[in-house]
Amino acid sequence: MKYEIAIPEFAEGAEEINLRQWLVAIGDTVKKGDNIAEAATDKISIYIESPADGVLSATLAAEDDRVLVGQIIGEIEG
Amino acid sequence: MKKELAWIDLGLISYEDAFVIQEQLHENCVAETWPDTLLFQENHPIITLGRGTHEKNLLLTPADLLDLGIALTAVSRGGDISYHGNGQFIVSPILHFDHYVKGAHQYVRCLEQVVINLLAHYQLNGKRIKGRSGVWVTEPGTGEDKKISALGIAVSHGVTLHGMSINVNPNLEHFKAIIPCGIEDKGITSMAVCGCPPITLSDLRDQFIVAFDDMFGTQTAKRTIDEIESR
Repeated sequence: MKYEIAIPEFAEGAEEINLRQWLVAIGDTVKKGDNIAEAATDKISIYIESPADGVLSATLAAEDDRVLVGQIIGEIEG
Repeated sequence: MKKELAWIDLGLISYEDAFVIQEQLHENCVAETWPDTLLFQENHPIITLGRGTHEKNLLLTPADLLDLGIALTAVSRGGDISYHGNGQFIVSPILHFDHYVKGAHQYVRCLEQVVINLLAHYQLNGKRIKGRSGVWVTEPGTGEDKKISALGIAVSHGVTLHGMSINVNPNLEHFKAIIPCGIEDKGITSMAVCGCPPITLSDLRDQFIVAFDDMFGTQTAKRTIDEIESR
């Protein structure tokens, strides 16, 4: 089963953020709640958690991309 | 009823040792086996390279830094290059920020306001500058806006890490080794340079706790690091 990795709402009114880095690579095994990516503004780093146990099967945004709140940035195959 | 927080002061400690403690505290706060905590520290001179560091912002070689007694380390936080050293007050709130405010931006604004209110206690006029992070003052001697307090937070599993530094009386010469946070056109100052009478970091800590509790509606009580390590 596929689980989507979405940019969470991190601040009121904030619509986009910089995807600073992926913390895991495609093919890596992760557990639900593991930090798998970091997004950041100039003041705040937000760690994005895996939505499920499984394997990172796709990244749909690259490091340094501007991404929107709610945007799907990757997939976990659980 | 006010939410209860803990505070722990690590005193003068290496950045690396303090970071290990911060991560341990964070893990315990996430697991809710330890209360939300204000972690205070002062570091030996060190330049930290965040994941977003641009090489051009480090102006001296590692050998030059060694001569000045400044360590150099790469760290896991985001952001650019930072300096920490003696005479600089550092506070890392390790807390479930959404228990106190709505969203991370409001949390940052409240933290900045705590520092502005704290500086006002010492008759210093702190302010924000649009598009710049941290807290700034107009330095009396030069009339220039300079950064007196830097801010950078991370949120992992809903609990914050890192926090703020306030320059009380650090060796400002050390900042010349870097372009702090990559900001080239603005300088760094300290409370001492701005005319604040000598204060200890413990004095500032106690006033910070008052200002923090006032802003966040919390009641913060002293705990010790031994209490965490014995768990």
